Amino acid sequence: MTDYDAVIIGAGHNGLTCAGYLAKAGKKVLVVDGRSEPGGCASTREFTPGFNVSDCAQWLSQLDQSIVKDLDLRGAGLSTGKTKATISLQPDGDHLILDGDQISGAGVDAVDQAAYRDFRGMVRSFAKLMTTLYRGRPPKLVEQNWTDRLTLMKLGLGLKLLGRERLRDLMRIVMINIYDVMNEHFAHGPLKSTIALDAVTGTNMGPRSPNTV
Amino acid sequence: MNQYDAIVIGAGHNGLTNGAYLAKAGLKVAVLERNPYIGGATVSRELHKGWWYSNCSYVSSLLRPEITRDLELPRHGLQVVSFGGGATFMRNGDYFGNYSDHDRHYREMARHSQRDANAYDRYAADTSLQTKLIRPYLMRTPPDPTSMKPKDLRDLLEFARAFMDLGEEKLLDTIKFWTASVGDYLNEYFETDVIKAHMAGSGIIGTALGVYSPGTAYVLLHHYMGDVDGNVGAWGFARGGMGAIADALSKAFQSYGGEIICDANVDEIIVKNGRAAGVALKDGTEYKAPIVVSNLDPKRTFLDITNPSDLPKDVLKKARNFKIRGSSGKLNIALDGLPVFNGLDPRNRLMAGDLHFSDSLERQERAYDDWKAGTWSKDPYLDMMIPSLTDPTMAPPGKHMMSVFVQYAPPKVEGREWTDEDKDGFEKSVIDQISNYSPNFRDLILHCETRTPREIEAEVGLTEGNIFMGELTFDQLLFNRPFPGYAQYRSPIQGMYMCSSGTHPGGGVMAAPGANAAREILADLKKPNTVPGGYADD
Repeated sequence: MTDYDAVIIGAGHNGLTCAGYLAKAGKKVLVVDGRSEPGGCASTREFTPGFNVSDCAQWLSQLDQSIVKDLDLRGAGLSTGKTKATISLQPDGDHLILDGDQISGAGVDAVDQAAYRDFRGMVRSFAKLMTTLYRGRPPKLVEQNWTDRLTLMKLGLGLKLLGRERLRDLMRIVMINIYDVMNEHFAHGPLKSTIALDAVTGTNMGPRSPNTV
Repeated sequence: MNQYDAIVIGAGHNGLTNGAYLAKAGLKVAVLERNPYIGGATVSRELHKGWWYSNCSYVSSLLRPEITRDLELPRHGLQVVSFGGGATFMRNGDYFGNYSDHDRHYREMARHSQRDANAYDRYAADTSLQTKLIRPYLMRTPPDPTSMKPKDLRDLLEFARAFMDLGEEKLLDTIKFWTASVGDYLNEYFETDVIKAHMAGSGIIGTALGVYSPGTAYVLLHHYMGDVDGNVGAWGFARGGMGAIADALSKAFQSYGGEIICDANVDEIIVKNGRAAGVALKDGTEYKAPIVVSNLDPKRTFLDITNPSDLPKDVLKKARNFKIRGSSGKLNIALDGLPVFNGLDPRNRLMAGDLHFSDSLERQERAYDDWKAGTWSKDPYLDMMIPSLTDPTMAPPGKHMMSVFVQYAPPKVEGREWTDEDKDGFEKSVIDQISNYSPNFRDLILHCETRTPREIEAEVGLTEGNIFMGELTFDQLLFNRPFPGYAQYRSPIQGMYMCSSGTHPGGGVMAAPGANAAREILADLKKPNTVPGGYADD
């Protein structure tokens, strides 16, 4: 019988992160996993000799940089490549390329290019607000303590700082469906479907379903 | 002289309610109506001699009792008779009966599933909690969360407190409810397909969403929050058809000195020096008034009858983006006698209720898939009623009138306008569906009025034929209806207001938007308020 301060079930990226912080605080931690290798959905497998595949999750964009720093993941060997452009392949070979704020190809016009920059700006300002919630536990709404209240106050301040027009946009967009938002912002069909893909990936909803934004 | 204190555009139930409260406060009010008859979508029409059709809205529950009593609508002839129950016919020849009597309902549910019968009271309690939460806000102007005005802050705080008072667990249930699909919500309580399908209908009627679309649990609530004579959730027939509601409202309005002008097709709202000054009709007639209230939907209000140069750009954009999808149609049928349905005794009281033919959520979702593809469904979801069983004034003795609401019908057929052949195909899909369950139905048809979104839009002026004057999704509810920043019935033009179902609290024959808008107008005019607040007796 071995004694631990904590046992964590599941050696996926969240189990390992949780264990990392506990161990860093001096606790004796055991992570157990049903598979023979750790990683869960964030693992690499040699599926045929000489060829590796990201077993489940296939790209990285949401890993919080504060965790990378806290747990010194780079020191432990993590290196991430440069940001990749998104390319939406078109049958005629004139592909649509989304690279940062820039879009090109597939006959996308200046109006949609400008609309795309505006749209990214709006989404980024809302995403910034959401990180207030990601970097802490979800606040309880009625049985709150001071930690919860602080999170809620930060969120409230963030909402106020958006400004009146942005706040009105957010009130409308927060539970809307991606289909309508795409049609409101863009005229270009492949552009709409490329962006909308991110709204439905991993859900059992289609682009017309509310809450996909 | 065509000079008034206020002009209301559109003699639907909200326009008449709005006019009545303004006239009651002593204003000289005219309600203008494009059609030769009043009522808008709250109308009874004799379209086949001897038969009266409620040819748009067909049942009543949402009409606010505060308004019924305050405007003395029963004195002006209104009588709403509740109907008991309903049924969903199944493909296997059986049916599920939705009895209004609690014990009979329990036994019927237990016939299909003991587990579901036992779950029903929990379901009813959880759903009525949501009803209680929303009902006090129906007769109020929504606060603006982006405003720092003391009134808005006070109302917001009160709104927040109502939610906090629920406690952590019930508050989380509430958030889940408001964002859930009706399918997921019902799956938490029930296991039997036909029971879920029977209830899910209320979550999709009038919306361009399916039973598995998030937000449809709220639409279910929208159909549960009304009452007949204090019986919350009950529905009834207005004696003489839905036009009886418009008639009673018009008599109340006229009793305060109001004037109704039919065949008055408004071309444009006249704006002078940034202020509303009256309206101009298509025939050139002008009516002058410092207050102009539009009972048209937000799209028609801002994109059709307002000069774009009088409006800020953001409002034009918001009006263009307003979601008002055509998603339903209707058949009104004169019958030579009472149709018989497989498995159900024609004397059964369920016959007088709402009858359906979709016995699973899957069939309802497939019907929505057809809508997305731009066509009517070969297996349509129907909300069918025989009002003449309850109200004999609707048809000659021994004959019957049938009202069939059809979910779904696309606003355009595969991207093009409806043709007469399309309309015939749509009609056939509905008649075939009913005939599958009623052997004598087809032979009883004497006359059939078929209404696709095309007919509803052309006759009533509802954009795309959307019965709620705008989708009831959260991006268009409460302080977001019709758009964030404009939910307090005021348009961006001074003296111009909105009072349609496109404003809070939304569609259905509720009359609350018309009343709430009147309260705001009278406040701006610094006149004493004539509009009742919500009853606190829930």
